[in-house]
Amino acid sequence: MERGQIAQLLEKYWQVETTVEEEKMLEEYFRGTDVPLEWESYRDIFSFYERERGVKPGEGLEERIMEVVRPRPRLRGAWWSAAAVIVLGLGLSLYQRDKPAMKDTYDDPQQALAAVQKALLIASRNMHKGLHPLK
Amino acid sequence: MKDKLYRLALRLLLNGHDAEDVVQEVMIRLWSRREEWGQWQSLEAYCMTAVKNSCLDRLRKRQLRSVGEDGAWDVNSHDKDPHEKMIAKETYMQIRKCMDELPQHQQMVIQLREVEGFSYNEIAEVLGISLDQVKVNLFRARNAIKKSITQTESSWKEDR
Repeated sequence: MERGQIAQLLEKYWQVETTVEEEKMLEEYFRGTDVPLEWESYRDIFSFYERERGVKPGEGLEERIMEVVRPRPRLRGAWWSAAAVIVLGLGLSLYQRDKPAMKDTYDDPQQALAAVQKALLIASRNMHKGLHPLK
Repeated sequence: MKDKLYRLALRLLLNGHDAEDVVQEVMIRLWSRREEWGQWQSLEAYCMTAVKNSCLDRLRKRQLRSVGEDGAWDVNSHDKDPHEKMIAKETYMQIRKCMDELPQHQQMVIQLREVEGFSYNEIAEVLGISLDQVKVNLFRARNAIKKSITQTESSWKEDR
């Protein structure tokens, strides 16, 4: 950019009439190497702001914020599920122990097969009925 | 956004540790009100205002306790600085001293405009002042810094 234009922009800058874009142009100009001597102090001011823009908080800050903000796994729910599994397991093993040993109910294998098939059919029909409202 | 909040807090509090505390406080408060985010015009403006208020509050308490803070800038944050060579350390300190001595509103306006590139409207919203007040403060601050730096540099040249 020409020196005359920069002088105009600077004048506007001190009068608080520049836009953000024009201020960026000034900053860009003063970042260059061919700044005349009488404008050196202005270059210092613009580099000061540019340097301030690089200031950042310590890295620990983000971690500390995330620590509070991060959703935690629902531990209470997990504990209840674990407790339920243990109680169920205990109950089942007690039930199994008290049950008499299994006995054969059918002498004829054909009859036994038919009974099993019938039981499975009823179970499957009920399953279909049960799942129907979900669809 | 976190960095902008930090820089505003640092400008006002001049202490990296306190500035981080304020940002943490504001971010956590922001999170706890996340259901309301949709109703806000600008999340950033809201946070900047919250940081400003929290800092001014702290400064008031500091004055009450009348305990002088050491005013130590967070030196670590300047460690890896690509612009180090562009500006001499004494000049940098000179401008910063001048900024530190400006009235609070001028400091904040300069910070939001020159460092963060906010529009006049955004600055007015964050600080809760009128557009005219933004411009008046910016005018005074810019010219104070210009005066301070040109005077110092011409006195250096006379010394040589």
